[in-house]
Amino acid sequence: MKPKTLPQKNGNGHHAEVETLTESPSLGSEKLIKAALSGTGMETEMEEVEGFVALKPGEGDKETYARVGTEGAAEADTLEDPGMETPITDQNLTLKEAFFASYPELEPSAAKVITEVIIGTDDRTRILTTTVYPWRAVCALRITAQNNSQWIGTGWLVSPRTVITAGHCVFMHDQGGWAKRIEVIPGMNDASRPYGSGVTSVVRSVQGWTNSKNRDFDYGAIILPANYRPGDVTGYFGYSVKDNSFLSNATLNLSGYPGDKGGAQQWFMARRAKSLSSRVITYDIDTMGGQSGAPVWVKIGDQRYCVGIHTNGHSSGNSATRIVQPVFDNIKAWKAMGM
Amino acid sequence: MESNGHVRLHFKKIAPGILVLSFICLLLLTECKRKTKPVHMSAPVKGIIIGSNGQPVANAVVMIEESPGGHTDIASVTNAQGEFELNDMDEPGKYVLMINNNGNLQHKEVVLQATDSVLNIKL
Repeated sequence: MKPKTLPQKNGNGHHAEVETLTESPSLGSEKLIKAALSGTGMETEMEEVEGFVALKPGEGDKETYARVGTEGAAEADTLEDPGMETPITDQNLTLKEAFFASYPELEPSAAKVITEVIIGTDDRTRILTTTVYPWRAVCALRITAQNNSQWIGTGWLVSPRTVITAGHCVFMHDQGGWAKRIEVIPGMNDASRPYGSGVTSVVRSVQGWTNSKNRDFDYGAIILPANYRPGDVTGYFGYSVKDNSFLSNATLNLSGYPGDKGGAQQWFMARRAKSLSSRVITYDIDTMGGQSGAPVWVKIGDQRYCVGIHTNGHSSGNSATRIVQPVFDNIKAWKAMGM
Repeated sequence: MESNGHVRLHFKKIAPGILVLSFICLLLLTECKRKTKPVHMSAPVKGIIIGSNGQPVANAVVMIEESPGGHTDIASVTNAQGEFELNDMDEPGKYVLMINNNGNLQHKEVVLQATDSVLNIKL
């Protein structure tokens, strides 16, 4: 319980202080989880093994949810679901027109598969034209957990009322589980909310995340109220399952609302994947807290297909939950709920 | 009594060996358990952001910038009392936190011990 003070430097090189208070955990997370699992017949050691899957084969992607809603059937008859760029306003410039107007030197030659934009530096680029597709389909999230703690994240519209995000943005194991309230703000740009915002507590995820906290299953969805349909105006992303050879050669685009920029500005960066696993895409795209749930997409012709959901930061590479068949199926089902 | 004495003598001869073997086994088991069972801390870590005026800072964005084992890219926002929570600080080690206080960025290096669960951060 005795505080200890550690000398620190702030961003300006000035010394600051960090006090660390030692507290004896009366009921630590390990005990809590063990208590929660008592009587279930599950191994009590499982929560202590990183990445351990305490599920029967095939159950990781089984949907879980906080509210009962009408649920569309998940019939995955294709591995691509194109997005929609809604042509409704004179602001509806294509990405090429908007972005390459600012960066004409970066415009690539005609190619069947091109990326959103190729940036020659490691730095993120601020998106000022958040009323242009696809940026307007990227949403800032204001999350209130069950214990009333406040968080920020990112999501992306996949239908008029469905926002895809990270599982840990909708289900927070250490804060009481399902988020109590999430405000979704499409195309936020500082104080500007060009499409208003919607508040909901109807969220979805899968057992692999909610039951096992397995990083491979860290994805979920937010279903907005029936009277708030921003995707009708903003358009929405497509999504697709892509194989290793495709992803290895494609540049990945990522745009979200990082906390180091205040969480109200959209920042973008693109790079090729660093490595791939069956469920995770790793890259050297710069991200910060607040970008959890951001879309990781490729551009094919005029279509944008999300291939991952950004979730994690690490010095060896930031990473996304990869959209594979079961993830695709769940997104399709959640999309149907928000049509 | 003779036999008893013999037994006792024999026991005395082997007892140190058994004790040494038991001690080695105990060490091996402890080491094995230590390697397969990483130390996890009470989660989440909670804290308070205190401004230079000594008052709690509300609406500051707090996030993990560097961590030993990686972290989710969600950011915490302080409440009116300056309180925040951070997940993924579940193992002892060096962390770098970033605090955005109304555009003023500060980086704080924190070395967490296994029993730490509360951080008070002065800007």
